[in-house]
Amino acid sequence: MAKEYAVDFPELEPLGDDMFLNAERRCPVILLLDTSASMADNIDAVNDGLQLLRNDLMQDSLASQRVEIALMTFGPVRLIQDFVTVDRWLPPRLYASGGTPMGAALETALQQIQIRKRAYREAGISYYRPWIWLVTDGAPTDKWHPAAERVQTEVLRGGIEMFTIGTDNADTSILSAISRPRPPVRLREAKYREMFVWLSQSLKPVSRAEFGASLDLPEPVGWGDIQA
Amino acid sequence: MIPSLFGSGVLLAGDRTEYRLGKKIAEGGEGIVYRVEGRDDIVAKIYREFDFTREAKLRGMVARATKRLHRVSAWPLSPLQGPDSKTVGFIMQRLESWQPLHSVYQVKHRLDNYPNRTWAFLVRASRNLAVCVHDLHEADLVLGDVNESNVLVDDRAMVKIIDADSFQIEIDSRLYPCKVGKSELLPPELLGASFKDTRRTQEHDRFSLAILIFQTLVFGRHPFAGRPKKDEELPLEACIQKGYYAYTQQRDVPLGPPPNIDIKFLPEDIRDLFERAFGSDSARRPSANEWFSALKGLEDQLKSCPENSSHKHWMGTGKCPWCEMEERGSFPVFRSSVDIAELPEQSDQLWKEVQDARQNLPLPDQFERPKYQDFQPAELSGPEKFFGKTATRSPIWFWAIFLPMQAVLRGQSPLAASILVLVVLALIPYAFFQARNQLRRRKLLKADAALQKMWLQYGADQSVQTLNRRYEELRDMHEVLNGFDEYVQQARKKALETKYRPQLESFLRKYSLLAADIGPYGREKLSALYDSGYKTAADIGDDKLKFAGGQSSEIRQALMNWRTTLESQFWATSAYSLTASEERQLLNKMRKQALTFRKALQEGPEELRRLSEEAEERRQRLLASSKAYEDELQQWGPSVLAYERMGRR
Repeated sequence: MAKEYAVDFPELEPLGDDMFLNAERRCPVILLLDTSASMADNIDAVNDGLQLLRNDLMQDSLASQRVEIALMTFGPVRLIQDFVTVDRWLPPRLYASGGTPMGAALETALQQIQIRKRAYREAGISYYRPWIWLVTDGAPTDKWHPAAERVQTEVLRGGIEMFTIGTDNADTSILSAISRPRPPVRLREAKYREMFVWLSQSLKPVSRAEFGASLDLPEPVGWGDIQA
Repeated sequence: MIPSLFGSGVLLAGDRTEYRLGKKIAEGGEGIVYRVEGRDDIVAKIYREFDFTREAKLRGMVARATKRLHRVSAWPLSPLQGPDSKTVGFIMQRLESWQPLHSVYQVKHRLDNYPNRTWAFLVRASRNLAVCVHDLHEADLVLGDVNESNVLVDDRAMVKIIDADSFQIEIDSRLYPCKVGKSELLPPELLGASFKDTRRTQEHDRFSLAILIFQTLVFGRHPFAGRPKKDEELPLEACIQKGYYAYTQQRDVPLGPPPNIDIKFLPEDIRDLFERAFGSDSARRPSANEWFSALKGLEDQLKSCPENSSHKHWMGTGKCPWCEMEERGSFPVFRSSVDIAELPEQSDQLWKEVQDARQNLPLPDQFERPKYQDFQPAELSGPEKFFGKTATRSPIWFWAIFLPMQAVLRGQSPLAASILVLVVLALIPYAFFQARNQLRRRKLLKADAALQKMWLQYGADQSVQTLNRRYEELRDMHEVLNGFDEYVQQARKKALETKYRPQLESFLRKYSLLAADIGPYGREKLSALYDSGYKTAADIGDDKLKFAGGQSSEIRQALMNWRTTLESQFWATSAYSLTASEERQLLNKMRKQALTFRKALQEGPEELRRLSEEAEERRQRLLASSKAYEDELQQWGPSVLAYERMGRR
């Protein structure tokens, strides 16, 4: 059970071309998406949303060279796509199946972020605080407490920015425990497309002044409600 | 009214005239830039939020305008007012084809969009940036927020600074502060400070200027971003705060330069300026004017690499630093420009001569083995025809013998007995004809087999086939020479694919098979493949998938398409190129090949003639030795054929 998830990508990588050809400061973002079977009806909206995210970020040339997206799905936990800067990104296609092992997913995400940060340091590339963007439509089916604690340690240390977005069936109290002090957002009526546009808009300031120090994000108008 | 509600189509009042907002062009942190309808020379910047101090600031700036300020910045031309007379934005010069500094210095972006720019271009852009900052400082301004997005560069490396409205300026002894800044470019003393209460100074600008010059000269690298000596996190802002200049030679810092970057390609005086700019004493930061002089000095000491004319570098380095970087295994940072010495001449004339030669030669392969089947059947004599024909109708013979025999056995009729005798007598000529034909047929088939064997040997003979094969080879060579450009390109593509295979593989490994876009076939198929070891796009290949049992060709095709799409995404940059020496090696090889091909074509007619003569000799020998068999064929063929035809009828 403990070893149910696996990382399929080798940890050791040769010095990548992406870090040499593009020395911009990076903003790594892990999209941690629940693709359990209950998501089947919405999976197309999520896939569309990924395309929107890419297309919108491509409008900002500097942001497209700074933001790096990785995709993880849980049910079971898989790294679906490793970090790629948006200007070279082809969003993958997600399919729905399986359970909701959120704890394992978070652990793996933290691990992936460590690996990526080490790669940045190796290449002498500076980076912003990495984002984890968790979207779920249910309650975890595994032990999530240890993972939530580890996430909280990282958040308090200033190591990551944690965002949680839940749909109707999601357990808000659990999400809140993970993303503290940032409250979880409840997604309205499966507005995944709008959610991804909002994500893009929130990432674009990476190319402008005053990004990173204190994130001053817009209200999730039109697609979600903050769960205080 | 919130100014940001103004959008396309709105009419706003300027100083002398009104302007209608056109299409949105760009969006910044403070405001949005629109085109102005009917005007190609100006644009309008509209603020997102209203600020009552802006009007006085903009009016003061417009009043202060000089030619010099217009040259180095997009200085405000006129404030813009909404219906309630509040200032919501301003008019400035339109800078359409100018690019932000980051797209000038970022390697991949430069190689993709401006492949011909050399390091000399980057030096000139840095120098011009220093001039802009110098002129603004001369006018007692502080830029405050100078960054890679608001420094614009044109095709001739001219530089202009936009967002002039955010400059810190004193008008009528009132200070209008600069309220923005980008933490990566702010000096340590400003990090964490509130811009509202801080008076910005030219010393602050000097720090930002030095960072931008560094990034321009050193391939987009930030001077405070390096490789930590221990495996620890060193956030960029913290490094700036603590003065951890990654390239310093004078101080002990916990981080060093990134792999493959050694700034010894910069002359010492410039490296010194950087040490001063990023050292702890803010008073020692070099002025814009000092940068100008040093960079101008550097320009006088630039030279071209003899190996690659697009490698412009400081002459103080022993070897060309860009070649050295390439040798150390980095990617080519500048396009390799190798003179493609004259393409091989067209080979049309040579080919025509080869064709003529071929046409005038006897065509030995076109004469065929004589076959008796092609002969005219002989005209048989009457009795032969009669008995031959009747012989094929065996039931008549049967009854002709059987019925009289019956009668004789029963002792019924002497007539029957005499008929029987007649019939048996008639059998004698029939047997004779049959036996004679069989004999002839044997002889004929023997001769035929002998001929067949001879022709087979002749066909396999080198000289005949070589002639034909050689002719085809010469045609291929001619086609290569005529489309030599394309041929070289194909060879280059192959060389690139070999060189960058590891990079491609690592790109493909980023994409898990579980998210392959394979249309309607769905996740179960993918999961099954995944579980049998096909984890990522790098595991998909024509040959590899063959062994994944039970996969339909549709799924295989869909997976291949998916991989191909990812591959094109990988190759969608021209940053993956050959170095000058690799390019030269390739061209030399190609050129040698072209010479060989030309020589072969020149010698073609003679060679074909020789081959043809050899073939002709063989042919004569064949004809001589086959003569006896052919005669036999002539002799027996027609009559045997006649019998065959008769039998079939």
